[in-house]
Amino acid sequence: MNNSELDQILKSARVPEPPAEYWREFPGTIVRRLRQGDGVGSAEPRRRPALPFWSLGLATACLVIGCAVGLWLAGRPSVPNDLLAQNLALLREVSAMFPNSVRAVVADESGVRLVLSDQPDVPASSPLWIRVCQGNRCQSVITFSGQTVELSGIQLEVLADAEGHVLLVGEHVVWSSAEGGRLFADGKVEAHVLEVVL
Amino acid sequence: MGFEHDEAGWIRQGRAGDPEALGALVERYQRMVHALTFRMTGSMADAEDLAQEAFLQAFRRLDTFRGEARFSSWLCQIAINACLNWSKREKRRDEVQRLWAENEATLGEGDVELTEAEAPNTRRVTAGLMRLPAKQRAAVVLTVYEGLSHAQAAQTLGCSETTVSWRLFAARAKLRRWLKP
Repeated sequence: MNNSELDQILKSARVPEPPAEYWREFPGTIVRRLRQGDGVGSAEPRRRPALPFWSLGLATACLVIGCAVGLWLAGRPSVPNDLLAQNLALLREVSAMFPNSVRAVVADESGVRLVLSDQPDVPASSPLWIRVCQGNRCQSVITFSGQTVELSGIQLEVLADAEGHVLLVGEHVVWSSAEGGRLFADGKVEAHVLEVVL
Repeated sequence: MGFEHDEAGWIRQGRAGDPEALGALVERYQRMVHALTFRMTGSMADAEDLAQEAFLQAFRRLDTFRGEARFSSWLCQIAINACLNWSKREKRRDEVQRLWAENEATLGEGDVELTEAEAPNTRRVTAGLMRLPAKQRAAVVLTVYEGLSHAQAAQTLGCSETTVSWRLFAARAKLRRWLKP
């Protein structure tokens, strides 16, 4: 079943129709409730709950952790943290949907696609983020240590070492995030262990 | 000031508390909001409550509507957020899902109008939608039923376009399985 066939099935389900009398009375119900309540344009500030005490503590803790992480990251490569955070959040969301089945999440100019294992047999390991850019064309992959992915047409095994560095191992090439350099003649590679960075 | 007959006029007069203008806005969008809240809740009773909540919230903050988006999109955003907040009330959601399972066979009888031919399909699709996590359901409702683009849905839901695409991807994968003929 393709997307358009599925949409057709979804759209064929009608919303149950309340009696005509309901539609006639509904606007009046809203207006009456507005009159009884706070009126137009005035309720929002009053509806806001007081700031709970614990939220101040949480905000302080976040600030301290944020500063510490910021200082720690000062010397690291300049991949925007929010981008990595987004990627990690995306991976967590997808992994929750397909436990032990996500081999990689690939994003390139054609869109985002999920690479799933046939069986739920993908072992738990550090999630990694890799971006390969050739000219203006970039491809990013979120995967796990030990998985094999295809980057710019080359099959590469992705590994993370104990120090949080990423290794890309192909048939004729090895690249390490510790040493940087070029994996392809005209390309730039960045790679991070997501949880280490974050 | 006489009663105006266009939407911008209703909004202007609605801000001043004109009941006729507010009523006209409700009348124009009540079916859209009810359809959205029904698809999000799977229950007519809850859909009616949430539709009321959405209109009341919208009118109470009508002065914050700047006219940058269409009024229908702005209202849609308020309604979907009301539904998502409703879904967060775990106990309520569990209860509704249990009631849905119990009453599945009775939808189409009672006070809603569905033909005999429509009822089983509506039941099946609604049951499928209700099995989805609320955020995935919201992505389906906004894009499939309300016709929003992924970017517009992302704006409505306050998340990235990629997140909407993923939620939709996951939702479609499940719905395909559940709704297989």
